[in-house]
Amino acid sequence: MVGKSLFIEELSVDFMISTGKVRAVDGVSVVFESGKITGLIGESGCGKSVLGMAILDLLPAYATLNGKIDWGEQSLNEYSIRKRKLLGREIGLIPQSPSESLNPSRKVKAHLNEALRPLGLKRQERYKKAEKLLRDFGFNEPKRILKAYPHELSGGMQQRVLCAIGTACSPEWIIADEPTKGLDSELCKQVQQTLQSLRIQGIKSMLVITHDLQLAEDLCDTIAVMYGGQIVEMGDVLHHPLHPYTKAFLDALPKNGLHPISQINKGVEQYSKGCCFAARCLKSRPRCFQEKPPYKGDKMHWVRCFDAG
Amino acid sequence: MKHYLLQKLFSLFLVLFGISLAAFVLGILTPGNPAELALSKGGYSPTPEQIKEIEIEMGLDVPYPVQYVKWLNRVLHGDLGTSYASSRPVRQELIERIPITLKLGSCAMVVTCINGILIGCIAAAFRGKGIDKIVQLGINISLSLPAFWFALLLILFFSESLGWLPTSGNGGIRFLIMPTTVLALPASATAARLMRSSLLAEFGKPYYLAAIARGTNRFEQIIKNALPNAIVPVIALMGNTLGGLLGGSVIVETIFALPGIGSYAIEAIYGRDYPALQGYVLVTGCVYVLVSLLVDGISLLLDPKVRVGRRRL
Amino acid sequence: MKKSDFQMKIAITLLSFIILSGLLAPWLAPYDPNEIHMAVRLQGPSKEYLFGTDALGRDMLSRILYGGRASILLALIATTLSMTLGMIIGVCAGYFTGVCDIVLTVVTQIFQGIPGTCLMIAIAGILGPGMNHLLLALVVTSWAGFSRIVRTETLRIREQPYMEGLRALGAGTSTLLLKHLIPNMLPNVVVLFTTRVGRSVLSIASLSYLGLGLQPPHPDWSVMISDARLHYRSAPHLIIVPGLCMFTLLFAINLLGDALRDRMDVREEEVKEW
Repeated sequence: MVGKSLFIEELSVDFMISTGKVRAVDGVSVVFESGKITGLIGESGCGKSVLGMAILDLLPAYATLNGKIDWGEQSLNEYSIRKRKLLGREIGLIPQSPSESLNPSRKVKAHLNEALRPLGLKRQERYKKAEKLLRDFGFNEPKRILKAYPHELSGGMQQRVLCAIGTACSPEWIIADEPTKGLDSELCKQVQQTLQSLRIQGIKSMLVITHDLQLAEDLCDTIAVMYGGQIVEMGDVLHHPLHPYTKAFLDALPKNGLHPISQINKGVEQYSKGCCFAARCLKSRPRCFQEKPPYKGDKMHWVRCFDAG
Repeated sequence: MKHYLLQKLFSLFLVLFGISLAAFVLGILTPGNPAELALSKGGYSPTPEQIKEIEIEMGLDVPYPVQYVKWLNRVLHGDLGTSYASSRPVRQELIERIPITLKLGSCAMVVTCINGILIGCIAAAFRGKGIDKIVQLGINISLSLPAFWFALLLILFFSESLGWLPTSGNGGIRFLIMPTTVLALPASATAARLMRSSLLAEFGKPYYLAAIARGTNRFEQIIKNALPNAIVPVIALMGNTLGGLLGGSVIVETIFALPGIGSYAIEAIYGRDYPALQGYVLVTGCVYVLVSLLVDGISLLLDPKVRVGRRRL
Repeated sequence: MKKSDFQMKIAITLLSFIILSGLLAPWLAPYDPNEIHMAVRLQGPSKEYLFGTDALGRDMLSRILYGGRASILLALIATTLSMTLGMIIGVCAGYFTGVCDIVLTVVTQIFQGIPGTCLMIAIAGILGPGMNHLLLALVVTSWAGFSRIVRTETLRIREQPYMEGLRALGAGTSTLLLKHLIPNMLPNVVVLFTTRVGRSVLSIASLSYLGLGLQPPHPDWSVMISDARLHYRSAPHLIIVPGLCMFTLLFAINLLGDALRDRMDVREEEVKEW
């Protein structure tokens, strides 16, 4: 069976704050294909989490959303994932910051119970299923974990519990939001294994939002690079970077020599009507500031730059 | 944890000491000579010799610290002195009157809890909608109504015009309806406001987002997920609320002619009956401290980090 | 944003109306507020007496106009005094940690542990009527609330990196306190002040009603209500009009407090909600 892909067209998200509007996602058009693990990487504040939350309709109330999101053949504009009550059932979320994403005053059992409710099982069966889920995510004594409060679990355990909750109803899609944020390298490895094991548990499609390039490289089939609210390149970007930003981003890695990305040129508007990276790009030409660069390349690997390809 | 309990105990002791000191200082501050006041009942004017005699009998001829220690010793043995007005032990009079205030206070407390939590939840659930705006306006109105005026208006309307409820006096539940309403109105408003803002703060936390993302409905999100966390500050507020209720009961009991300790305080003030007033300050202070302690205990136990600690898994 | 602006406008309009009519009372009042006319006692509203007359035949309108002056002024003085005291103690406790903090915190705790309204009534009752006694009762029972909040706030600001930086630059204690710490606390203090003025007005009104605050024949709203206790059943206007004035004043102050909180507290504004 061919699953449902996520088609996103000209999606923009604005936040209304006291000083005016801030555009977090700026006209993104992209296809997240089903059956693949897609990574979404970029620096802090580039809008990658906002894009993920926009798909799930989990943006805060002061955000406004424009553009089209289709899920398979269904348009999500009128009835979003959330309004269709598909959250958790067809598309699950593995939230960021595991220590804050579990309710501190409720036991693990209550969390899983809630997540399993859509399956319509009886109480006893639900309990069995919860135990099985925890076992699948590497807990040897699920009974004790079910009775525990979140503060009694370690960070890695909390992450695995959240994965169990996210996959409780075997959704077709999973969106993992910064699963390794703030974790040490040992825990990162654990998380990666956990995410990889999701495949074995029947989850075919995943969107992994991260700034952890190691995780992205090891886990993902394809990677989208986001900068300034736009996806600038998508494909096998880690090995064949085409966009100047991706190249600069990779050059900034410690193993590649820690070259800083050049600063914003003074006197240039950061949000110009042209390319979002133009102000910092070493190769930018007048044209880069005037027009939006076109999509170049094929479905497997595309880039938005006048210079590339 | 142990450190915390010790600290709590220490501050409890200090506050009790402070209350006794306040009650004692109030006695000293009384204008006029207490010995003279004690004697000059019913228009009788005592001679200077008689006053001197009574002063020695009452232990007023020694320095204040000694007086305080003696007084405290008597208080700790349950002797709160003798009322000038009735010549009966203050302890006896307070014991007779406390149940009425307690009944009124607990009614108001229950009403406050129910109203505060319910209205706060509704306002938070419909944030920014019409209901929320009406609730906010209602809260502001409730906090702006002077209790004595509101009480008189209620009497005017429900007793005088409609004749539904008795104006004043002590009796069955019908006598308590208006006093409870007057006492509970501002307290409910404060509780509802805190409940609302506390819930809204929880709505912004990651665990709440995670709860939405696992496909929960509105009820599960608000009542099961946010409420257990949001209610903690509201419970902490209940200690303060009790202080407000005790103070408010003075006015309410005076207007509705309920013979509780609030009206006792006013009678004591009008009659310059300072042992009675001292007794009142001591009793309300102790009740307040004990309830605050209880409230602290409850909110501590609500936190699973404290209740279950970190078990070995 | 818009909501709080609207609230602010309403609150300021109401408040300036009340304050102006209080200030201009000597010129606006048609009669002397204390002039007794036993011939026209307990009259309902009429063309001659817009709000009627009270049990001694005094003109209600004139008394209403004068009625807010004393309590508003007293509330402002009492709140300023207790806030100054609370701020000094709170800042000292929060900034100079150690013995100073422990002693001041203990004192604050004692004062906070005693139910305020009860103690206030007891103090005002024992000392007897009089402005100074009233102020004393109000200040003694309310400074601790300020000091606790100010201490917490001081502790928070003290630990901010910029304070650390200023210390490293060699800024003196007085510069740190007066130029950096207190200005940062100001928004909170302004909101606190507003709400506490409201509370003081309410306290003064309650005490005056009980006969422990402002005394008759002083024209004051709560004294008027207290005076009318025997007659309000037959002449409800005696309590309705002064009560409404008091309610309006408190409502405007509460509204102003809310609007200021909305405007100054950015956190509330940017609260996330999914």
